[in-house]
Amino acid sequence: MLPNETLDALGNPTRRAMLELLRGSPRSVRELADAFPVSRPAISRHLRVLHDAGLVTAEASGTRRIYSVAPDGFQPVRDYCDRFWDVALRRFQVVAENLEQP
Amino acid sequence: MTLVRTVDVRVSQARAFAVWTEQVGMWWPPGHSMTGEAGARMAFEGGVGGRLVERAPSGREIAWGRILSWDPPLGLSYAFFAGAPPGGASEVDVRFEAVSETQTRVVVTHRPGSLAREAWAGTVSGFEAGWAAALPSYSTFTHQESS
Repeated sequence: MLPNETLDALGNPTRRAMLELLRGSPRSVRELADAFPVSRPAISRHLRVLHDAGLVTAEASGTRRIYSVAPDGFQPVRDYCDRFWDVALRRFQVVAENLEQP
Repeated sequence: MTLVRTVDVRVSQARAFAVWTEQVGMWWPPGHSMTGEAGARMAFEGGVGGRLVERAPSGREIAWGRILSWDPPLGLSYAFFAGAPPGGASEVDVRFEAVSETQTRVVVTHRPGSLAREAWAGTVSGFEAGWAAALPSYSTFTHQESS
């Protein structure tokens, strides 16, 4: 299953929208704040959640920090899907081959 | 992060499609529940626009997906919300290829769905509500399963 950190990070519409934006191109906190109707401290808090969940990385550029989507950030999601389909397809096969036809 | 899986089953193409859709409640991996209620069952509402829905004994229903294409017995595809990348849903495409009269190859392709996102553009608020409602129990459940 997905780690709770990933679920929690993705379970917020603003954070999902921030990730969408960062997927397009890396941005600073200020650039992100300009794109959303929420305060800069709120954006910073969202970034911290995303960062702690491993979904974004930060890089210093002069006095600014530039955020981008972490290349491996969605690995837990990928792992979840892998496990889900492993189990689902095995069960589907057993049901399909053993269930009495109506 | 497109994922492709195949499984061969010793039944006809039509039967494979029927089991996938009508008997999803039987093969859905146990514990993959958003309601967290014992006895909750998955079901497909057949046809484009229908839901892949979890129905709990309390009457609570949570949609896991929305059907994007429905072509029995060849295949179907649906927007899938669990483990979705940000912005909406991933997309699951299921093809049933007849190997013989009594053997079918099932090919599942699970990809981040731009198509799914477009299909959902008009109903994003409903989807957000679904996520919000689903997440607490989903997290609780994940925690239980991993402990």
